[in-house]
Amino acid sequence: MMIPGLNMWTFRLTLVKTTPLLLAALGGLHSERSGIANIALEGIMLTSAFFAVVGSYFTGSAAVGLLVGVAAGAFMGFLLGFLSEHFKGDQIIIGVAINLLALGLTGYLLETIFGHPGNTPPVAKLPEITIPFVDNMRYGYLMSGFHPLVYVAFLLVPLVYIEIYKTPWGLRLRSLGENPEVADTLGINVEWYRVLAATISGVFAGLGGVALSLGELSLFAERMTSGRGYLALAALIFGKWHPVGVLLTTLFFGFVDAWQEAMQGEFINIPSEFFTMLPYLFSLIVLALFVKKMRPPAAVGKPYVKGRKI
Amino acid sequence: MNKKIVINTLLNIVMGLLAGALFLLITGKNPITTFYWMFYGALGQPRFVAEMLTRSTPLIFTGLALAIGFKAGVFNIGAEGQLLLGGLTAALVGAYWKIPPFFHPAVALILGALVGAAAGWIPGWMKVKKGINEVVVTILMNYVAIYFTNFLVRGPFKYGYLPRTKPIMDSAKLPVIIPGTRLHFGFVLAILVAFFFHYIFKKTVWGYEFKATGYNPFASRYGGVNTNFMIISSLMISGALAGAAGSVEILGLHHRFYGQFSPGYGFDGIMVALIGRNNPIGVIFAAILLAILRTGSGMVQLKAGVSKEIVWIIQALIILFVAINFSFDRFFKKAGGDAA
Repeated sequence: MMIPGLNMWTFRLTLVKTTPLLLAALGGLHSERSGIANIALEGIMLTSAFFAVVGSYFTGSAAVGLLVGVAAGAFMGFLLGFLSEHFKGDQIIIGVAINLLALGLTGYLLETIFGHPGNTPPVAKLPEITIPFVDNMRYGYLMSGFHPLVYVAFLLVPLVYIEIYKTPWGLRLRSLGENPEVADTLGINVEWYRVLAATISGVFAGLGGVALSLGELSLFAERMTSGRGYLALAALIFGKWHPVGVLLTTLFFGFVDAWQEAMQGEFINIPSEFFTMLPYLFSLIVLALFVKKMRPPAAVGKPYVKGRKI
Repeated sequence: MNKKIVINTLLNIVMGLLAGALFLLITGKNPITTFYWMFYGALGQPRFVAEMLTRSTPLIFTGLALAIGFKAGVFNIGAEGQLLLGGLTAALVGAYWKIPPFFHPAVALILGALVGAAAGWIPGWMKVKKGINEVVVTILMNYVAIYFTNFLVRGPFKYGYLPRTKPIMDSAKLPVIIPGTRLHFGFVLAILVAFFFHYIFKKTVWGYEFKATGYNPFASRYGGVNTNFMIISSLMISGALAGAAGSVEILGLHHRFYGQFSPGYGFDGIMVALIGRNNPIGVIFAAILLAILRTGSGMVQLKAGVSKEIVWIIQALIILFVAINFSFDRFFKKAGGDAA
């Protein structure tokens, strides 16, 4: 039996749709493992998506756009870490504020720089890279011809695994999220490690935002992330804060997203919103049915204050 | 509310406005004319004030929804979805179910609130049974609700050529309280509900247990409070208030459901609750502050030539100052070397 919307192109599209989610979720993994709840992924992605387009628009170079976008993401991540740790504010609320700031900032600058709301004109996008030989293989189109961030995202999975589980830095990061007092006694500067981890999460989520605006598309549209940051956060939780788990859950979300797009094309008389709803609905059902009791990093969400029991 | 918190909050608001002014200066705009037109557009004429209060109505409801969640230690970001589901329910009851006047809006409002409460039960159940953070669940539910209601008004419940429902009957409408304006009875309801919860939290055992759960769930459980029940019921009450926000908007103002009737009132509830410091009376003032910014933003765009998106930046800045609980004495203590 043929399942509608299910073909090899849907699988190819799955990889493209997974990329921004995977990058953002791997970013969130850094900050949450260090003890900083990261609901700001959405705002970070949106900011990066916008500034990448601005960079590309003014220089005509997608590479410069990429750098500008990632720098903007790093700054937002730093802001989250700094405000959380330096002022000991509530991390969820700071995250919400950063998301609001991202909405306002991108909307305001879009209108101020480009003269009208809605979306920017098209700009230079990231090139598609074909891998020699692989491209000519059977099913080669599932491995070749993507924009560079697709490869980067999937290559980062083993690298982040090694980073988190096999390096001293990763061990320290995990200890910060589980028991910051112990880390502190061992002479680790909890505040600055966490700010650094949040900044790294900004870099990763920033790459995710750039993958949307300069990879999938070649422009910025208002609110274009439409909840992908939150989906990435959900994926991080289903994936149990582990790089491989995150890979599997973001692939699942990416697949549902690609599939619903294919279905929209096949059933044009059903309002498209019905299909757009599916990735979110599916992730809720997965949460309700298949998830056992969750155990996030013990110290996540709690700013570290020297000498205070948490 | 004690005096220090009020002063501190006012300081946070002023800092947010000043930071917004700085941002305007950096981008080459005039902050003085911008703020002049913002306040003129909201307060300059009696009908502007009525319009501003009309806009504050759903904000009071969603602000209360979030504040009540925060009091019990849960974060209901799902208010936007609950608002849409409640609003759609009220619109359908108002349009298709023939009920005598007076009872009609009451039934529509109560059913809208119940649907919101049911939507609030889901994250409550998942938090208690699965340990899944309600933030993620409610955010995902928002997207489901947004797309689901839009699907319904473009599909099964579409009435006429545009994607919107059939208009509600006259018997279901909430009356306008100042003729010649859009200010409707929903505003009075919002104020009454705020005072009702103020009383509950101040004077009842249930209100006390509710707050205790938020302060320290472990101690409360030890003290005999059923904290799981408190978590679920807080999310359900929060959902009901968000559902009521949507219902009141439909019954008092729009008189039919369409996809964009809420510009994000559910999310605004977060800001209202934070600025109002989770106090029901504080919520009323915070909702009015936000309504002033919003109502004035149209005039800002028109007269000062500044994108009205500037109000989003100002709101975010105010929230940032509230979130880090900015106060001068703390700030300078920090700058002068950490004493602790």
